[in-house]
Amino acid sequence: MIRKHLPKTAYERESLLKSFLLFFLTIEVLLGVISFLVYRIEMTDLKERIFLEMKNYSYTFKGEKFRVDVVPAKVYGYRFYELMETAEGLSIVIPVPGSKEDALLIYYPWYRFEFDRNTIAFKTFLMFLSSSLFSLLVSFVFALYSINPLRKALQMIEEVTRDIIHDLNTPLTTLRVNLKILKSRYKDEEIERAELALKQLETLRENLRPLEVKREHKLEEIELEKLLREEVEVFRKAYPEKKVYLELENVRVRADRDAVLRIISNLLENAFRHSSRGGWVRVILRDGLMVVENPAKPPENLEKLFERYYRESQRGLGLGLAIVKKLCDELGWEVKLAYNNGIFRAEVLLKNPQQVT
Amino acid sequence: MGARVLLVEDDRVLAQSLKKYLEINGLEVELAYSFSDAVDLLERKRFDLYVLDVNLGDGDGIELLEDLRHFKDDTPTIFISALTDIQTITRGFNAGAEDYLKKPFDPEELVIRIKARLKKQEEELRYGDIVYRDGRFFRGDSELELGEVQRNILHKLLRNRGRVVTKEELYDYMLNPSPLALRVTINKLKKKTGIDIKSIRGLGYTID
Repeated sequence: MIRKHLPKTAYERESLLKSFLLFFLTIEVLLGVISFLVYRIEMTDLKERIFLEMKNYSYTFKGEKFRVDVVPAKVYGYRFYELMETAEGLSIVIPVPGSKEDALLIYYPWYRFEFDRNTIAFKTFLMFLSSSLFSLLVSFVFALYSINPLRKALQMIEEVTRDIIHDLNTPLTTLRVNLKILKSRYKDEEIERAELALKQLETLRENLRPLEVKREHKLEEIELEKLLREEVEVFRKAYPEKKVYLELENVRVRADRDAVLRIISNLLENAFRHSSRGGWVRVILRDGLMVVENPAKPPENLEKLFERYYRESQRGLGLGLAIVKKLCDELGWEVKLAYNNGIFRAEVLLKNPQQVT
Repeated sequence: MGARVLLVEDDRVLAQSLKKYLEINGLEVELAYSFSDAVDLLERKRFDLYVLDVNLGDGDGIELLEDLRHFKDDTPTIFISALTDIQTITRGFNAGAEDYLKKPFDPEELVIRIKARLKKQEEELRYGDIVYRDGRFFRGDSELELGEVQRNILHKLLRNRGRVVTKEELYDYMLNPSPLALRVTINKLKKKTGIDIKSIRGLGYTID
């Protein structure tokens, strides 16, 4: 599940890392501030508690927690029942009945207070650590999620670039052939110039060759039904007003996962986008056949829908179905479009499907 | 009249341009724009060489060649294709192609490769003082007077020297195939050319 989202190229990795850091650091700063405040509150709370306990102690003198000393009251400015930080520790001074000079100093020794403080610091730190771990996970998922549209766009651009480079080959050859024929008849400098320009184009074409490298298809077992359900779920969220009917049998195919995913997602995107208002989408997977149906306006030109850059609405690039066709061809699948009684139907005939019962 | 080349290319502009260029260079070219056009043509005519595009509107040039080789058609074949990945090129050669030219190519190179192929074929088809050139058989400078069926059968037998060519394979070249008609044709060929065509009983014919 996660694997298909992982980045495949250096720039994808870089943008993943960057958006991850952005998410993570922001959350970390917030967590740091929160932890610091929690620590401060806990410390105030601790002092408050000790103060109360010391006051209680001054009535009973029970327990081993506090120490008592007789001190001259003057030294402490006759400030009775006040929390003070003295050399001995956290202290209060209480008057001795019948004596004006002497007072009792009740104190909580510093080493004990230090211990309490360390415990609080440790607890707060543990909290910070565990929430950081959680934020690490959340940031990673967020980062993956946020670069996804970017990756799709990049893939699309790469594919289009490759196709355009590829489509240059035939017209370049045609040009060369005709220039050769012309050259054998006329000896004009215009032809020489045209040839020079052609030469430049061919060099350009040659330089673009590295971009052309086709990603190799990796064959693996794919549970088509599961994949379809997952993808349908994605579109269902984007188009909540459309009804979805699924008639899926458990079918397995051997194919390239990315290619299959692109085919499915492009077909579904078309179906959801172009089904009429308040419409529905029906997905059928049965007998080695994958069908996506939706009610739609009659297409102006059914045969042209597979052509690159051909589109019948203002939205989109007109590449979706062209890519479906190309990928199906590469996988050895057969794809057909039909329109009958107000329903648009895309049909994919799978290669070597395995029905799992 | 030059050697007969079948050019299958789905881009019409390129196809027509190449046809003209090849014709200027002394080849006789028939055009097919699609897989099915090519099949139609191949049923009616014989060629000395095929130039096939890999991407055809209604099919795949490599599959076309695989089918042809399956039916024992061993006409030399050169692919021209915009597909330059090594997998496709490998598939092309595995299907039995002699050559693979990547688009964009210099048409001169195509002509050179075609002529080299034909020349090689000519060498292979030489028998004593009988020479095959541009679809015809010559003894010295004078052409042997052979009908089309006879020419095709002799061509097939010479191309497969040392191997027995079955009667069924030879029937493909005849208008009204029958064992008797084939025997008559073979006998005429022997008389006209002086080549020793051996009959292998029950199987077919062979030239050593």
